[in-house]
Amino acid sequence: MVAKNDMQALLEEAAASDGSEPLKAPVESVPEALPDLDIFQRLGLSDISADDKRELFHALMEDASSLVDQTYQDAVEGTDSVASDVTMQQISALFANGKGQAGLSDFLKQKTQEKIDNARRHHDAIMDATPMEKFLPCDDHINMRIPAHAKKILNERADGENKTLSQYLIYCANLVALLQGKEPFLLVAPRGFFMKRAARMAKGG
Amino acid sequence: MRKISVLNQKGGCGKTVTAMSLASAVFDAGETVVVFDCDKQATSAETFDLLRQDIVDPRDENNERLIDNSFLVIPYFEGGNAGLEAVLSLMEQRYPDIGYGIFDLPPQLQSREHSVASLSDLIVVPMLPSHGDYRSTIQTLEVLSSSSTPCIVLLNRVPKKSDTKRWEEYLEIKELLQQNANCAISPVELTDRAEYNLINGGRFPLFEYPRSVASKETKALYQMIDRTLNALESKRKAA
Repeated sequence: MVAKNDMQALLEEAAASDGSEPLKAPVESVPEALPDLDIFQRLGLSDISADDKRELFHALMEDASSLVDQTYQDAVEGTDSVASDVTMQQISALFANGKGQAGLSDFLKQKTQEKIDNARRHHDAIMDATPMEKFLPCDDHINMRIPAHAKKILNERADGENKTLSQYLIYCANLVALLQGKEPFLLVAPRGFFMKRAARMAKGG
Repeated sequence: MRKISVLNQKGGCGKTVTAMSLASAVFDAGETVVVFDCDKQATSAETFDLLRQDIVDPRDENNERLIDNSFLVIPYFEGGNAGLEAVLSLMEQRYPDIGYGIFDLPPQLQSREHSVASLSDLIVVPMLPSHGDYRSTIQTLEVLSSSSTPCIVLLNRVPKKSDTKRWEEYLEIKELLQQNANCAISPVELTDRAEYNLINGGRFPLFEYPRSVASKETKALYQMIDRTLNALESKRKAA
């Protein structure tokens, strides 16, 4: 049997022999989550037009109150601020200036509030102008009412990512979670489970 | 074939997650890997049944080849120690290019588990940083001390520092381990990440989210083990 101290020395050496420090438990989770922000690209949110972003936002914002937890909606609303106004450069600059997560949180909070106010007005205007027959049922386990034209755009994006609509929406929610410093959900869950999980995660549970 | 046993007589400490994560990292590094599911619950084998249907080899540029040629899971089989040794011997003869065999053992430590551990090049004992797991792990290590196989403890589901209560318990457990465990403690740890839950659903963070922290940890664990086994082998040869 190899002696404990000898084995420990071997392990330490092996863990660090690529020149980097061995991976330890994270001090804080948020900075480690940020490199995963290439999810912008995976979502196709980095280069779509402003109109498309609005469509996406409205689709997510649609009248889902009977089925979707309000907290989840709050998280979804954040998507618009992220997609429209917050760029990787801005986020990088905050970290480069040493403001880090606190700076990012304030920044996002302010941006999100601005966008929520604007989007709510825009949303109400669209809803007022859209006849009810334009609404179609979405995936049955999300079952949000989404305007047909928005659903088409969303489905195209989901197809482009080789995902179902539900999976695609999870990615949107993940994006928000990452930017809020929470763990992404990363789940393609059994029916019904997703929304409960998303709501719980959005509450920080 | 290098052989690694993942065992702890405590249940729920992440044996299957550790075994399957490690296997995915071996595979990702270009080696052929076989997981022996030695647990009657057959979680690894079930996971893999889900997995193998549609997972494409991430190393295949054409995105066509399925992974089941170089990532195998052998389901639980009866037949005692002799049977297991016979299967191993046969596999080594017929498939000499297998890089790693990983044994996912059940939460017990009886003669079969002992035999598997003795056949291995390394025993990995995963545990959660909790007092409950600590007690069972120390007992496991005491039983294993009669084996000549090198052994390491791997801390699993390590909490974030912001989770103050769990973090303090983690520090306490780590100190207790350093003082009382009769084997080395892995400097690489697996933290408490949602990505690891994917494994129970037949999916792997390393394939689906290669840039995630879970993937980095998994790779680091494999690299550390691989290098340690290299070093042990060199020492043996030198001796």
